Amino acid sequence: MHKIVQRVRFFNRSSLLTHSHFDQSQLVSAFSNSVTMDQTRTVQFLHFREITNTRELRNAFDKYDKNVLSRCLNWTSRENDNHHAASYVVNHHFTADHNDRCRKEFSSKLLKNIPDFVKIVEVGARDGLQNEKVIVPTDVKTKLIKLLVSSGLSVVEATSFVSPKWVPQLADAKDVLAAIRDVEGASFPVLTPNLKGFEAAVAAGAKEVAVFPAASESFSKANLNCGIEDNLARCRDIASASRSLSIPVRGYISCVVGCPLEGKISPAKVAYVAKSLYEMGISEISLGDTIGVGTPGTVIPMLEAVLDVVPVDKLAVHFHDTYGQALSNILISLQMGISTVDSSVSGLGGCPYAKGATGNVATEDVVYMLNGLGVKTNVDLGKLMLAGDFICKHLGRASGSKAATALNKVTNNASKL
Amino acid sequence: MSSLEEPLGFDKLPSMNTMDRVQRFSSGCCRPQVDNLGMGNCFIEGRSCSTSNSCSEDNEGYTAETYPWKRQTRDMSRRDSFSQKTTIKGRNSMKFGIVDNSFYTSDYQYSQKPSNKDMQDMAYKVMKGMPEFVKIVEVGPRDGLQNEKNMVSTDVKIELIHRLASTGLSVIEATSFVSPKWVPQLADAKDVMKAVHNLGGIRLPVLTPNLKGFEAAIAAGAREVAVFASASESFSKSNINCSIEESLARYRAVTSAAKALSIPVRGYVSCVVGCPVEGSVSPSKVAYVAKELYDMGCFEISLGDTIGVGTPGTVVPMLLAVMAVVPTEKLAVHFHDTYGQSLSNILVSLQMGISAVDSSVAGLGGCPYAKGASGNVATEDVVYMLNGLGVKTNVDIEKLMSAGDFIGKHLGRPSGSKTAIALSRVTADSSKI
Repeated sequence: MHKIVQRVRFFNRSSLLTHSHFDQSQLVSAFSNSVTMDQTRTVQFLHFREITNTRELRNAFDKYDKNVLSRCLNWTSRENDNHHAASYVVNHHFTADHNDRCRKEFSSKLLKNIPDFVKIVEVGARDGLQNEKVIVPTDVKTKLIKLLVSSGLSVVEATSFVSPKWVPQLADAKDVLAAIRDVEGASFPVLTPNLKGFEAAVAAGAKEVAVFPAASESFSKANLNCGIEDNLARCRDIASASRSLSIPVRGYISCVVGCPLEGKISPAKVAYVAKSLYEMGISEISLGDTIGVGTPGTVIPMLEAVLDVVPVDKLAVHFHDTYGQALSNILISLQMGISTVDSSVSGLGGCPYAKGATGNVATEDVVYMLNGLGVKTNVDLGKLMLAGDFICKHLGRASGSKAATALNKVTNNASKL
Repeated sequence: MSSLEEPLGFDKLPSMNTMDRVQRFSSGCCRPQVDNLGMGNCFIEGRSCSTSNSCSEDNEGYTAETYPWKRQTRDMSRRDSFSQKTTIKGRNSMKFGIVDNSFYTSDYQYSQKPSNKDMQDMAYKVMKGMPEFVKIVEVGPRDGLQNEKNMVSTDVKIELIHRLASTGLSVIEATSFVSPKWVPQLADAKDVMKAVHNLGGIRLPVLTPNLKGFEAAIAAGAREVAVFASASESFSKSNINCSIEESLARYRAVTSAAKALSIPVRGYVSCVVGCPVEGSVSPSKVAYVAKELYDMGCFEISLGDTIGVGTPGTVVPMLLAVMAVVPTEKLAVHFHDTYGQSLSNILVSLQMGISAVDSSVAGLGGCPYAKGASGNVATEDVVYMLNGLGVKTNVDIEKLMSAGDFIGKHLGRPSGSKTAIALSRVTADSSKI
């Protein structure tokens, strides 16, 4: 049954080649004809086509159903001359040296929509540290932020002007901002839950703020003590106040996939909140999977709903790695054109809804994947690891980043990677 | 501009022909009800269907799952943004197993922006190659335990295999008949095999490095074996003490002996992306080894990222190279989570049509090349993702977690699976997830 489904997909796929770079009708007719040709002629025909245009054939491997190719290349009989075609392509065009070239040359539909540059928004100093049990002194926070900036990160969330009653770990918000006032090369957004917090932030020297409504009514009430609409009203106040001061405002939406109280969250709700934020002039909307339950199956419908109402360049994704799903969710978001990702150095920040479970995705792991994809980030992984080492030493625990752990412990032999 | 809360009225619809309208607004629209998904829709497909020489053959294979697929394709080719949207909602709901009625009454703003088409093209493209069923090959008792520092007693191994068998896993790699000099953790291979070889309904492959190991495996009751070549010459020499060609020659002996006894042989290729000695490994090398294993009679080739350095940027070219010489349905992927990359690598492999994934319960098995780093990807995490994607696995995640708990207790360490940790520590409030 699987073969039949594949064949259907192939022939349906042939009508979808609107983005192809080669002469679609030629190739389609070549392959449809080859189904009826006898095998020797098929191989000769393909062989000829290979020599004249191997890129076409490679694209054919990429875009067409392998069942058709197996008929053309006669995998089952395993005779040498029939394999010549495949080995020609295999030996001459598949190299692993340059990921950038690989990504573009193979024009694999899976990777070609991925943006060339991804901005990483580092939330370790805020979202990470606010969830740590141990309170970190101001100078350690400041040093962490400086190390993060030196690794190339251009956006480092510095602190939060939420009442210290709720978040004691960030009670030193004013001092942190004062300490990093002269640090150049990055912007330092701070969280502001309401106008009062906003005014305190501006007085302390903040040049960028962030607001955080939720897509779930129950979560909003439980976490922020007000419903979604009230929260959006507060956001509007902050947005208009900041407009007059030319201060950009970032918006976070939490529980975009699942809520610890309500369960599944409808994408339409998320789209509604995103649209409201967009209309009030928020410069970037970060979609947060607060409890980390998302998988591509739920992330894609949610992104589709939001992309309907907010342009893709205004969106960011903020996945939690509580169920280990963050990197695959990030990959799928990149495939859908998202080009901003939130992450936390060393995976700082646990999950308040599942004690002991992890929270934020680790920046090192994200950068590792982006490097492998040939996506520019301007972040130096080695320097990032230094920042991670620093804070983990201080917190007295191991890094939450697998890439950092592996790179630190890799033996001499493996240094060629 | 109508708000998101207002349902779209009929008068606001773009013009559609009668057939479309009937399709769109019939009660079964966008829902996976088999009675509505009749063969009649094949005619609606139009040209895209009739270019197939075997349309009638294709109809026989239709099920509720394949049908919405075709509807999706038709709508895409007609470039009707409204129908695309409803179909995609419907299709996503079906494909991803989220049959959630709130989507259909949801208050979308149906805009006619051309960019939406591209965006939905993207969503379609990234998910369309995904298989409907993925076979999980559980390698915990072998690949997992062989890399554990702590030795595990034979009884515990047998109990682990029994527990894994009850989760719905159909293939569990039981042990390895490699010399105990090299892998002391699996020196009790014979005893384990004798105890479990009669477990009904599941396959229990065992590793056999050569003819001698093969004969010992058969004597102990094995009914399926596995061989393991490397795509990197240096790794082959340092890991199994012989060159790639020599190892392939040994395996030819194993596969011909196996063929005589009708014993299936699985082939592993290691270092498919990177090698601890050589660095990057060329995809054409991997394709060569995979093809050799396939030609000698292996029914499945598992491509292993032994040191976990792969990312979709290196995995995709490697898979393209191998898929050019070995049919996709004969391939499996075996990613290590040493750099946290395995789930995204698995996802991209699924997008390319791979439908067999190797994993290890509780992420058993460290990395011998980066001491203290993790190794195998955790089966619980993989099943969680597949469940979320609506891909069938037949694996019960709770029973899997209890098998993971069991072995974790014996090894005296917490699970290597984030899903297992999260699900076992989630508070009462979060029970609705």
